[in-house]
Amino acid sequence: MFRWQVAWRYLTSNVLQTALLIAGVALGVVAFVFITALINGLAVTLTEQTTGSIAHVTVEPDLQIAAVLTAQDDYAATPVSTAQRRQIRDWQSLVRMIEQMPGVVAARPEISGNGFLVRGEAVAPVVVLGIEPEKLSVVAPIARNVVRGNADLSAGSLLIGSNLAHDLGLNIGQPVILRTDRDRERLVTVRGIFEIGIASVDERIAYLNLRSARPLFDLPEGVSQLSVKLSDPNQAPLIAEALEAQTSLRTRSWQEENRNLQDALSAQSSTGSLIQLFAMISIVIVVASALLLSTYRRRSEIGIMRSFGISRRFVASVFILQGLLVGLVGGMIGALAGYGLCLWLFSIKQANGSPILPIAPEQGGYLLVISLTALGAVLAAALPARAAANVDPLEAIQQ
Amino acid sequence: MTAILEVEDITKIFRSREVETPVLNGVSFKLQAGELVALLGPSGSGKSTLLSIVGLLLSATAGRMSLLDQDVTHLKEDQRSQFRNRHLGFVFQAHHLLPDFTARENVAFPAAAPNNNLSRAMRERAGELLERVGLADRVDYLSTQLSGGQKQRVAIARALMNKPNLVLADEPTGNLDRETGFQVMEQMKIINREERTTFLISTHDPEIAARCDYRIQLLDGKIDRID
Repeated sequence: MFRWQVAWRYLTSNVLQTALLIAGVALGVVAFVFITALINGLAVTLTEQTTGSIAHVTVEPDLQIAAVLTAQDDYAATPVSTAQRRQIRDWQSLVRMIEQMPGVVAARPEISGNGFLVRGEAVAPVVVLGIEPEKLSVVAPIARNVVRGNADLSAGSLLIGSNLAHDLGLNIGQPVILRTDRDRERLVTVRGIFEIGIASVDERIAYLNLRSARPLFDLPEGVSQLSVKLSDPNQAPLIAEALEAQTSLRTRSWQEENRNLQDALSAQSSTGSLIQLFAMISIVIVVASALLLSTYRRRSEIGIMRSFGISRRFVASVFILQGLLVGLVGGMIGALAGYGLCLWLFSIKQANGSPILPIAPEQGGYLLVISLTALGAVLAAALPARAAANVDPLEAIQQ
Repeated sequence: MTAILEVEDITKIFRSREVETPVLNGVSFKLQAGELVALLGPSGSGKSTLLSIVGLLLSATAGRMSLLDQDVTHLKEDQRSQFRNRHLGFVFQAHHLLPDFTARENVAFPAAAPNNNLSRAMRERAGELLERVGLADRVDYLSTQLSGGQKQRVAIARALMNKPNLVLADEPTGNLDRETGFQVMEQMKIINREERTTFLISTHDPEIAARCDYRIQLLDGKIDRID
């Protein structure tokens, strides 16, 4: 306890100097908290934006190619495609099984394929998704983003994005020809126009009733794929792996499909770590230099302590404890100030209601930064502590 | 009487690069428990060096020394430190008090630090020692609020905190005016008489030296005479 008292007395003997030291540490902590909250907020926002409108896991059949006997005589070989139609035939039981898995919110069977919407001379390429009407919003929040018409997906109805509607000059209730890559076509009616704010969806996706899609894609029974939505998108690789093992179907997590995002997040995280490291280094330098200065200033006091037999360990521990106290107090003040700054920045909104910075005030790494600062400050105090412990009492007294 | 300190043929040579400066050259003497002894000599005669060697703050180049019947010539630094804390007290010319601590805390420091605890008993003993040196009304003053003489008396009280066997005082009155110097000397004498604490006091001042039991006169690193 006495060494705590001595450390505290040393720190409080020059309030202004200690306040400046703590302010320096706190400033580094504020920088750490800000960058952590920003990087985490950005990652959360980007991940939410991405995973909010795509499947977390996609289940697809593997391409099956039947073996072909090679012809002995080259001239006798006939170029015949042996590729089988890719489809999941027993999708009903599969959907039930997947939806019972922990962490799975819903699984949506889909018939998907490419096609064109033709309206007079205007033609636009689309990705057609034939789905069960009740599962319209399982993957992307389509129903609540319908800006015109409604989310009606009855037979012969079509839901398209606002950009696509604009390109083709389509409006609610208007008919349009849907021609698929199976060379089938049908006249469908636009019942709803949605706008979820993701260009690739608003420009390219056309939703159709699953039954209406069957003849258009020559799939009387099966489906092309299953889109699975999870409660925690981060679990996607694990669940994809489990599903692949259980079903022998090919699965892909959203992370696999969005490697660019993962790379960007990873690069961003590395940049953040680098800035955090610099913040920590600056804290260590501030504490080390201030305590080193204190060691030199108190050289004769340390000398007199050593002369009456106070151990090196005691002297060193006084400086280590000063570092710890500065680290803890500076860390806590900085964490609090950083939280305040993040909250303030979070409260400043853009015209559309979203914050000007995608910051996550609750993810500032507060415990981590306080612990790291305390640890860093203790390490920073090691050098001054060593210098203090090695003061030659006689030399210091004679000064 | 018991010899508390035995110094045998102590030599000290300071070496810096190519220059060798002999300071002590074969000094031998003994101190008996309860003696009050003055170490006299002109500047450069080796008084402070001898006191530092006896106080285990400096190692001799050659010779042997025993304190309390223990050979302390080759103790390691940590052992020297522990020995100083338990058995020796120091009073320096400049008081060297810790400025951020009160008189009582300064006095109690040598006992509190090794135990990592400033106990009530330590506070009480520090208070008693301060009372003894006439500073009962200054116990809770910061050392910066005390006069030079008062500071030196606090330093004496601090030297006595761990009930040392030997107190080494290096020019303890050197920075004080004549009257205050005599008062400080008188207090050391009283403590020596009442507690049988051995004192070795280095001084220039013949009047201070005259108040001691006997005097060891150093000249050019050797004992010139003992009277």
